[in-house]
Amino acid sequence: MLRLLILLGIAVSTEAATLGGGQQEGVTPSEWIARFTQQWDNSVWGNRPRKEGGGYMLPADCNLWKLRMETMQALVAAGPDAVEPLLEALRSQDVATRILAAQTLGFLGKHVPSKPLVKALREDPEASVRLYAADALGMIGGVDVRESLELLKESEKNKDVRKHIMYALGRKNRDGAAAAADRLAAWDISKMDTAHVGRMAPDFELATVNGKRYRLSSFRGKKAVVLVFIYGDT
Amino acid sequence: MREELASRNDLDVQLLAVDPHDEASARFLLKESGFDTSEVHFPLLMDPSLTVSATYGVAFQMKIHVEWSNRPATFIIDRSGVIRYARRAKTFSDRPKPKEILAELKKLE
Repeated sequence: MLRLLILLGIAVSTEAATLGGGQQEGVTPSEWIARFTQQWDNSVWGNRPRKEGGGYMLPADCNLWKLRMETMQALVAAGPDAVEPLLEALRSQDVATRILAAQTLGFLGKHVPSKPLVKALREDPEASVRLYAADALGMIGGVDVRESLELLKESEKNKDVRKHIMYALGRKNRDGAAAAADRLAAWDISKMDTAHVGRMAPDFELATVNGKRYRLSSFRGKKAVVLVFIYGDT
Repeated sequence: MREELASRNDLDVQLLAVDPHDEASARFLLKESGFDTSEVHFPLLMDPSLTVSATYGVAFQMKIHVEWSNRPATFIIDRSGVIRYARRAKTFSDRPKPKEILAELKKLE
C-alpha cells in the first residue's frame, strides 16, 4: 500500500519524469491499474465546441494519453500476472478503467478466459467497453468465442461494436494478435512522443495488410517521406 | 492528397500511411469501402501494437465514435531522416491540403 501511495504521489507531481524513464520495476499490475483510475480524467476530452475538437479530441497539451499507453504496456509486459487484476478492472465502476481493461486483455490473449469478456460484450452499458471486448475476444480466438460472437452479432445495437464483432470473426488465427502483443510488451517507453521537428524521425518497421514489410529508414536518400497517421474509420 | 502524391512519381517522394488497426479490421474496412487490398497504391501500414503511434505522439488522442484512436497527423521527413514538418490535427477533419504539402516539399532541397 505504501508503495502504491508513493507511486501515485510521484506520478501526480512529476508525470514527465515517470514517463520516458524506462520500465518501472516492482510496480504490480493492480498498482498500475489503480494509478490509471486515479489519474485519468474523462473531462479532458474537453468542453470546447465540437468544431474545435471538443468532446472527442484531447487538447494538444494533454499528456494523459501517455499514462494510458504506459499503463497498457506495463500490463502487457507483466503477462499472466496482469490477467486477474484486469478481470477485476473489467468490473470497475470507472468507465475509462473498464475500457482499458477490455483492450489490454486482448493483448494477453491466450492467458485470458473468454467468459468475462463475453459477459462484458453482452452486458456492459458502455459501447466503448463492448467494442474493446469484441476486439479482445477476436485476439483470444477459439471455437467457443466464435459461437458467442455469432450470437452477440445479432443482438448488438451499436453499429461500431457490431463492426468490431465482424472484425473479430474475420480473424483467421491469432498470429497477428500474438505478434502485436509481443511487440507492445517489448516496447521501450522512452520512445514515447519522440517525433519532433528538427529531430531524427524515430525509425520503425511495419507491415501492410498483405504482409509486405517496410522500414522507414530504407527510404533514406529519397527527397522526402510523407508519413500520414490515419484512423481506420474513413 | 494520397492520390495526388501517389500519382506524382516525379517528386521522388514516398508516401506512407499508418493505421492503428491490424490486418483483420483493415481488410474489412478496405473491402467495405470498395477497395481491393492489392489496389492501394501506397503502403498502408498496420500498427496494432500502437507502438509507432505512441512514438509519434498520436495514440489514444481521438475518440472516433466509441473507439479511442489516433489523432490524425502528417510528418515530412527529409533525405537525411530529419523531421522537417509535423502537423497534428486539432479536429478529425483538420489536415494539410495537398498544396500545403507540396509547398513544404518545395522547401526541401
